[in-house]
Amino acid sequence: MSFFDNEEEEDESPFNASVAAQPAEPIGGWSSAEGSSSRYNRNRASSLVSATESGIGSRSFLSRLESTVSPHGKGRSGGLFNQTQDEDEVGVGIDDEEDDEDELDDVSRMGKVWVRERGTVDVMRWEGDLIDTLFDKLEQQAKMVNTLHSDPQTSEEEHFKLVLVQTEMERVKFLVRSYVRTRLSKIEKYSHYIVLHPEIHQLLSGAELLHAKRYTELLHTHFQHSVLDSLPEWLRKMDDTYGDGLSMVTSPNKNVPVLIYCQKDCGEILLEGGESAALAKGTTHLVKYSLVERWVQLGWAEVI
Amino acid sequence: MALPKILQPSLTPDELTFLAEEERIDIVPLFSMTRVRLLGGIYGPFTPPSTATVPVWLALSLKRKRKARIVPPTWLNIESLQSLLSEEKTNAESFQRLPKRFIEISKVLLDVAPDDLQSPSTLRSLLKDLREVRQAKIRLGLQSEGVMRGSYLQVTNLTPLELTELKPFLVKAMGMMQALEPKREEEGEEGLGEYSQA
Repeated sequence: MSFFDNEEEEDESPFNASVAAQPAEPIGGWSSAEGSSSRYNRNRASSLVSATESGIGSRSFLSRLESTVSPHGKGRSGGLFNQTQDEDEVGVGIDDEEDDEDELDDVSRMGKVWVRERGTVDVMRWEGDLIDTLFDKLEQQAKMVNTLHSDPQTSEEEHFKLVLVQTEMERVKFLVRSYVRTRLSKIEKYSHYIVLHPEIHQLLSGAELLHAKRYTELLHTHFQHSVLDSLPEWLRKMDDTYGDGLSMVTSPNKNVPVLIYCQKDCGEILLEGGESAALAKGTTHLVKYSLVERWVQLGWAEVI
Repeated sequence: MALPKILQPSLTPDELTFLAEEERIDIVPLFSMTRVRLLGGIYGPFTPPSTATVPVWLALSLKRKRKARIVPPTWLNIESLQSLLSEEKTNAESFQRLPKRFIEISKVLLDVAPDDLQSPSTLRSLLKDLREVRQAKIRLGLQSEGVMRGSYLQVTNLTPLELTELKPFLVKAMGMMQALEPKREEEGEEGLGEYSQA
């Protein structure tokens, strides 16, 4: 039984990861202005036209998300405090070096949320509020940029500022886009699992949940039409479990290690074989996701 | 598909640099401008003789337009790098704690603003030495017995960039080790339970 993802490995090995990122392939309908981060590092002489175009393109996409943000559930963390933890230690002595979640501006928070989504195997809670705020701000900025650009009174200094504003907007858009795409890829991978587990639904936005359901439906219909219908009935199931306990439904493998940086003292975790490891504040660990899931969700351990 | 395969194992160096560019840095502007309000905060005012604190990406953008001089971070000079290097060498057991986004920021600064740094070529070679010393330690550490046993590794003070290099390999190796490890009874049952739920 393979431990990491039930899907087959393709020849593109993870070792390629250190190769510089190539521009992501545009996916129809998802984004109009596509690019890898490197694009944003370049000194972009962004022409006004392309900037506004991409603004419009992504806004229609954004508003689609905006209208269907699900209430984020905290219910999932219900059993957390059964764990042994010294509550007195919470919030004690935060180094000036550590950033407290509340003090961060939206853009840095978005960055962290994005890194967390990228670093973990299962779908994290959809940060609807944060995304909403960012969209509102982006829209305001876009409006301001448009007004000032068309205004002949605008001074040269203002024009220069506009270039800076636009650069930042593109950076934020990249973050949001990559965040949504990361989630999309997870959701498609685990679509059947998501559909079968209602308790995960609260972690997804409305649009995401809808997509998961329809994607699963399409996939299954396709399999049925192309292959399954010609098989004997007992071979047609899509959610069978084999004799060795391996299910056909791809579920997030929580045994995949994650990299975490402990923002707070997270106590000790018990490893297999009876050993234990201390997750002291300010240390970094590579550890099975299932062992630190609760700390990640609490934000005590930051995924890097 | 939504996320290209190359991006899936971990963040790429480019993406880490992107994140590093959100860090703050001081600049000396060469032009005057009132404050500018961005999503990440309000920066400025920019008045030539005094410094202003801005995100790295903004500093680089101004630098490229020759509108500012970048004040290198306090750790990016020959003395502090030398002391970091010597500490790294003497302390063979563990890694020195490096400033946040150390490699990424020094790299972009050396690329874009070498004229604002004191003797960039020396800095470059010091940084390279430092990296090599650390890499050698990492390699030694991975060879040592017991490191790959089980599914846990403490990697305190390694920089995100170094971890990015290591992660795909480690994740894969740990998966193999877990698969090879003889299963204990309870674990097997737990695993079954999880799967039969699904």
